[in-house]
Amino acid sequence: MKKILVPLSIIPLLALLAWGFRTDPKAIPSPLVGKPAPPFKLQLFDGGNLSLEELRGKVGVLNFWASWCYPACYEEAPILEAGWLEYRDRGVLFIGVNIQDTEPKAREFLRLFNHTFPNGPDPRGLISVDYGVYGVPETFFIDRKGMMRAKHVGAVTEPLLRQKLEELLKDGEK
Amino acid sequence: MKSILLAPARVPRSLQGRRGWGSPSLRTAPATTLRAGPQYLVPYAPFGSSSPLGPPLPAPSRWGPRRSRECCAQGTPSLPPSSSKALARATLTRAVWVTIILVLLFAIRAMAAPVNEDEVREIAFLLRCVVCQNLSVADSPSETASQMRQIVRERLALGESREQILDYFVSKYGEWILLSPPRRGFNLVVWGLPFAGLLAGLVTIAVVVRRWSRSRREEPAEVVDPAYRERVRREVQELDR
Repeated sequence: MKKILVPLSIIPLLALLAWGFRTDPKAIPSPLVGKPAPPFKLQLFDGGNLSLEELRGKVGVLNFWASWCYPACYEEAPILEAGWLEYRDRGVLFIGVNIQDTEPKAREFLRLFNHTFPNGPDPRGLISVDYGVYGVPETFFIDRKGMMRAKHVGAVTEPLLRQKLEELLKDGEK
Repeated sequence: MKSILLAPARVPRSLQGRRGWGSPSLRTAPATTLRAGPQYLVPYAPFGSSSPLGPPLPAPSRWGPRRSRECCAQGTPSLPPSSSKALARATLTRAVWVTIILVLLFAIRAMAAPVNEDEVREIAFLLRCVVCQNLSVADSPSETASQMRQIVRERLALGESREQILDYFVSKYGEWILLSPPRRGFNLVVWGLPFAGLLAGLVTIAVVVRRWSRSRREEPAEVVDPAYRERVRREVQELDR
């Protein structure tokens, strides 16, 4: 009996460790999903301001990025721009929030990818913390009623972007 | 220091050319004070003295009375007797002005009062640095952490309590943001398990030690074959011989 019990007692420990190692310590569920998106005021690189109010009635894609965030931000940048060009006429607004960056480098990044959707810096990290951002890139999907519907950590892919946008666009039509 | 030295020297000179100096000096008074004003808005200016105009705090309090005294001492001889009433009125008006400005400045200073940095650090110690691994916001040199410290500082300056600030961060990041999980619900396992483990270990040690000592005590006394004992005795005797 004793001979079986000792190895048997290791099993729950191993299971715990297996579960622990499989979970990503960096993957934190956002408590903001399902709640109203926090208000923000963004000063755009092209001049002018943009706030959450301008998202009213539109589906919003709020993307947090940095020029030093390589390769993820560089991977998703063309996808975001293409998504913007495709969906802008369907009532979708893409917004880029540049965090923890320097202005020249951020502008260079925007030039590199020919970004045409509004982008602005968050020099004091106020928007980042309000949105519970802990890294770049992170993308938030906001529905027409201003509710936060999803958070995506890491580079956005085209299928994901399409799926989320179609979902939110369909949702508003009901 | 410059501002203190400059102010009295400049004012009489400007006054010398004027006869009735009630209104002109009044016009200069707020202007000079206002120029000194914005320095108070700079936090920590009294400590840093990075401003080329020197520490701004003592300037107005000394400047007010000294200026009027010097004005009068130098200005009185050239003053027409008819304007003494105007002078009194001007002095009074200026005193009112100075008082108003001083009160305003103190109000601004009180509003911009530096937050207790110990409090900022204590709160930052409770928050997890979001870009680090197992490091508090107080310990991390990262930009995110310093921005978070600034947010803590600003919220403290607005009069928020520690709980309110922690709740704000929890509402944005979830309980994950707290370095030590709150002692309720499932989290109690984390808090209780180490002590339960310690207790279990102590009990195990006690039981094992007891069993060992008992088994030693219960061990039968050494049984030696009498013949063997006799033989050893004989051989030792032989060796001694």
